[in-house]
Amino acid sequence: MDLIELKRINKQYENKEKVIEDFDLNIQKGDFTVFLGPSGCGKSTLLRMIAGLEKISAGELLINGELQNNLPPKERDIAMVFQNYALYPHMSVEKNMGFGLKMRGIDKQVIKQKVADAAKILNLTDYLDKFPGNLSGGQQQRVALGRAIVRESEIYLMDEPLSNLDAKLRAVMREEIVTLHNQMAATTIYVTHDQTEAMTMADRIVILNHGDIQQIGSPKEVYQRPQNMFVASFIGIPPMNLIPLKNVAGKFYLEDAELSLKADIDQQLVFGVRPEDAFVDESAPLKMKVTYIEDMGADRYVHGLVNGTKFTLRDSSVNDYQVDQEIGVGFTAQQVSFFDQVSTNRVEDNLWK
Amino acid sequence: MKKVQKIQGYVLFIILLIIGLLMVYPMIWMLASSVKSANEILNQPLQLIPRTLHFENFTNALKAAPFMQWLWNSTWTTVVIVFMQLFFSSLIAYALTQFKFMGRNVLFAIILATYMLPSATTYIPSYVILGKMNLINSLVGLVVSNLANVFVIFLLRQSFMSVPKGIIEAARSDGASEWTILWQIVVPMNKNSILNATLIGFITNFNGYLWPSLLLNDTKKQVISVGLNSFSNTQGAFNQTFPIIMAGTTIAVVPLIIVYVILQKYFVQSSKTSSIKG
Amino acid sequence: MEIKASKRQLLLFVVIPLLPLIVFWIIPLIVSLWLSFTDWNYISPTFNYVGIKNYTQLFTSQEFKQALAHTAYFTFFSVVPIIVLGFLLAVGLNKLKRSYKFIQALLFAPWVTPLIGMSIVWGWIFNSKVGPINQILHLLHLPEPQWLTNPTAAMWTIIIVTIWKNAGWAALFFSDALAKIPASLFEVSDMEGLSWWQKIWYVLIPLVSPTTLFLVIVMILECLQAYDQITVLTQGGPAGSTTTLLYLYYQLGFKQFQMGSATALSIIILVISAILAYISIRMSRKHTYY
Ligand SMILES: Nc1ncnc2c1ncn2[C@@H]1O[C@H](COP(=O)(O)OP(=O)(O)O)[C@@H](O)[C@H]1O
Ligand SMILES: [Mg+2]
Repeated sequence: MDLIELKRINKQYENKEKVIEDFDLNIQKGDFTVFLGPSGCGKSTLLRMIAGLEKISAGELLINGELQNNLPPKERDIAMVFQNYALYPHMSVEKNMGFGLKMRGIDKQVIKQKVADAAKILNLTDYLDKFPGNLSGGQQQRVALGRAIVRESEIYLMDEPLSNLDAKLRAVMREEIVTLHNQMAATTIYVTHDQTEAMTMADRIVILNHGDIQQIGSPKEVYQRPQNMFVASFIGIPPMNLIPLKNVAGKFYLEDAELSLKADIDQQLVFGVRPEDAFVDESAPLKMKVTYIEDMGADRYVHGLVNGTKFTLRDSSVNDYQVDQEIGVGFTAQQVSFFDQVSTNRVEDNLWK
Repeated sequence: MKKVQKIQGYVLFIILLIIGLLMVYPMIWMLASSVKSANEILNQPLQLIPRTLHFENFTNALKAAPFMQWLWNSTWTTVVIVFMQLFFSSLIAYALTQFKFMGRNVLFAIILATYMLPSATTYIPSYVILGKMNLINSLVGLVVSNLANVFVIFLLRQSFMSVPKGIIEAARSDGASEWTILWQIVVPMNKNSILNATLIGFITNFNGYLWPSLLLNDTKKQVISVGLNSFSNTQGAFNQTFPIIMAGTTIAVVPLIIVYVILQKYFVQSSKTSSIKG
Repeated sequence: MEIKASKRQLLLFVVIPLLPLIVFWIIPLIVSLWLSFTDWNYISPTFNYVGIKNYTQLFTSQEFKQALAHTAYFTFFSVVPIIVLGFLLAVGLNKLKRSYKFIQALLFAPWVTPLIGMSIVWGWIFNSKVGPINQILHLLHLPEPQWLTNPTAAMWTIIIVTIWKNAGWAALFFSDALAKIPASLFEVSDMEGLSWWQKIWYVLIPLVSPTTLFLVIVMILECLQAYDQITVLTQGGPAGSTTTLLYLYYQLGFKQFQMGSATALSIIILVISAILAYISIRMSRKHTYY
C-alpha cells in the first residue's frame, strides 16, 4: 500500500481560479519525492494541503489508508521545513528544536537527549545555546532540519528549503539532506523550482506545470525520455533543442534533410535533441549559423540558429568556430525524441524506419 | 468548517465595532448634545438623536466667548511652531549626520539623554526667561519658547542616518552646496518622517494645554484648549448651561475631527513614530 | 564621508538652530536643578541657598507621599489595562478582513481629539445625576457612584479617561508588531500542535515583548505627565485624591509660588523619567528580533 495517496485533489483559493485540478498521486514509504516546476505552478499549495495548513477544496488525501482531509496539522504526524526556516527568534537553538516535543508533553530528559542527538548529526552541538538571529543562513537551515528530525515523524515536507542559501552551501546541504533521509528511512516530499536539486536528490521527480502533472519518473527517465515538450524544454541546462519537422505528403524533413520515419501521413512532428547528443559534422545536411560560443572549460556550448530556430550543441573538440560561421550539425539517431506538435506529447517510440 | 470561521469573523467584527463605537461615543454624544435643549438632555439623557435641532446653542456660545479668535490663535501658532521646529531640526539633524565638528557627540548625547524627559521641568525657568524677554502673556512668547523640540531633532536625525552616503557624496561632487543637499535631496528623501513629525507636532501643539495656560492670561490671547476650559469653568456645571458648553466644546473639537477624517490614513501611520511628545 | 564644516556652515546649521534649544531646553533643565536648592518664591528678588532642604521636606511631607502614591496607583491601573486592551484589540484587528479596517480609525480617534475638550465631555458623561453612565447603571439597578466627588471613584474616572485616550494608540503599535511576525511561525506552531492559548503564550507574547516594553515605558511617562484630564475633571480633588506628582508640581509652582519645592519636585519627576528612558534604551538594544 502507498503511504500517501492524493485522489482527485482540487484547490481553489477564495474567489480565484482553480490552482490544482483533479490531482492524483501516490507516494511510497521511504521515497524521496521532489515536486519540480516553475514558480506559481502550485507546488507549495500541494505541500501545504498535505501538511494540513491549507484546506483541500475537493478530493481525498489518505495517509496509511486513512482519510486526512479534516485532520488538523498536529494530528498528521508530519514535520515540515519552511523556506524561511520559521525559527522562533526568542528561543535558543535547543529550545527551538525541542519545542514541538515539549508541546506534546514529552519528558524533559528525553527531549534533551533527542535534541543532542540531532544536533550531533547536524553539527550543531556548539550552537545549542545560541539564538537564531546570531546564526548564519546555513546554520539556521540546519536548525530547521533538526527541529523536523527530532519529531521523528513518518513524513517530512520541505518547501524550497535551500533557496535562501548561496550556491556552494546549497550543494553541501543537498548532500546532507539526502544522507539524513536515508539514515532515517523517512518519506520525504521536497518542493523546488531548481532542477539541479531535483536531479541530484530525488528518487522520483514529479514535474508540475499550472497545477498539472507533466511527468513522473526517476531523474534519469525525465531527462532521457521527457514525456512532452514542456518537460523537454524545462529539464536540462541548456534545455533540449526542439525543431518542428516539415511534413510534405507523409515525408518528414528536418530543414532540407529527409528523415525516414514511420509516422501517420498527416502527423505534425517536432524533433528534439539534447545539446550533448548533437555534434559538429561538416558533412551533415543540417546547417547552423553560429551566434555565440559559451566556453565552460572542459567543453563549450555552441549556440546558433537553424533556419531562425535557436539551437545549441555541446562541443569538446579543439576546433575554432567564428560567429556567423555556418557549421553542419549531426546527431545520434538513437538519442533523439519526437513530439506531436498538436498534443505536445512524446511520440513513442522508435519512429525510425 | 468554513462556516464556523465565517461566523467567528462576524462575531469578532461586531465586538471590535462595539468597542470602536464606544471609543467615539463621547464625540458623538458631544455632537448630539450640542444641538439639544437643556430640557431634552436632562429628561432623556440616554436618547442620542436630538428631537429638534437647537443651533442657537452655537450662536450663544460664539457670543459668550471668542472661539473663532482662539481657533485662529491656536492655528497660526501651531503652524509656525511646527514649521520652525522642522526647519531648525532639519538643520541640526543634517549637521549631526553629515558634518564633523567639535562637540558633535556631546550634542547628540544631550539630545539622546533628554528627549524623553518631561518638558514640565523646564516651565519655571522658561517662564522667567520669557519674562525677561517681555514675552509673557503673548502668543509670540508661546511660539518662541517652542522653537526647539528635542524629539523632532532625534526623529529626523535617526531618519537622516538612513540616507546612503553615496548619494550625498555624488551631490557634493556635482558641486551642490550643503544647504542645497539638505533641502533638495535629504529632506525629500525623508518626506515620510517629515510628514510624521508634522502631524504629531500639529496634534500635540494644537491640543497643548498646560504651558499655554501658564503663559497666557488675556481672554483674547488664549489658544483654544485654554480658552475652552476657562469658558467651561465660567459657565459652571449647571444643567442649564450644558448645551452651550457642548456647543463650545464642539467648536473646539470639530476642526481636529475634520482634519483627522481627511488625513486619517497618515495619522494611523505616523502616530507610531511618536514615542514621546514635547 | 562626513566633512569638516566651515565656520559659516557651523553658524547656519548648528549655532543658530541650537539657540532656542539652549535657551528653552538645556538652560531651563539646569536652572531647575539649581533653583531646587534655593528657597526662591518668585515674588521676592532675593533668595537663599538651602541645600537639599527642599528635597528632604518633600520626602517627609504628607502631600508628596500622597501624590507619589496617587501617581503610582494612577499609573499602574492605567498602564496595565492600556497594554492588555491594546494587545487584545490588536490581535482582533489583525484577524479582521481588510474591508473592516476602518475600525482602527475609530479606536485611534481619542488620541487625536483634544483631551481638554474631551475631558469636559467626559465630565458630563460621568455626571452623577444626569450623565449617561449613571443613567445606564440606574436602569441596570447597579450602584451609581459619585464619580467626581468620591475620592476613589474620582481617581477611577481619571483612569478611565486615560485608558480611553491611549488604548487604541497602543493597539496600533501591537498591530504593527503582530503583522511583522512571519505567517510561517504560526504554521510551525500549528504543526507542532499548539492550542490557541499556547500560541498566544509561547509565540505571540514573547515576540511582541519589545513592543510591550516600549509601550509600558512610554505609557508610564505619559501618566507621569498627565495633566489635562485631571485639571478639567477633578483639579486634583476631592481632598487631594487625584493630585499626582505633576499636578502637585503645578500647585506648588504656579499656585503657591514655592519655586524651590516645585523645581525640586520637577527634578524628582525628571529623574524617574530618566531612569525609565534609560531602561527603555538599554532593553531595546537587547531585545530586537526583527
Ligand atoms: N493564499 C493564497 N491566496 C490566493 N492565491 C494563492 C495563495 N497562495 C498561492 N496562491 C496562488 O496559487 C498559485 C500557486 O501558488 P504556489 O502553490 O505558492 O506556487 P509555487 O509554490 O509552485 O510557486 C499561484 O498562482 C498563487 O498566486
Ligand atoms: Mg512555493
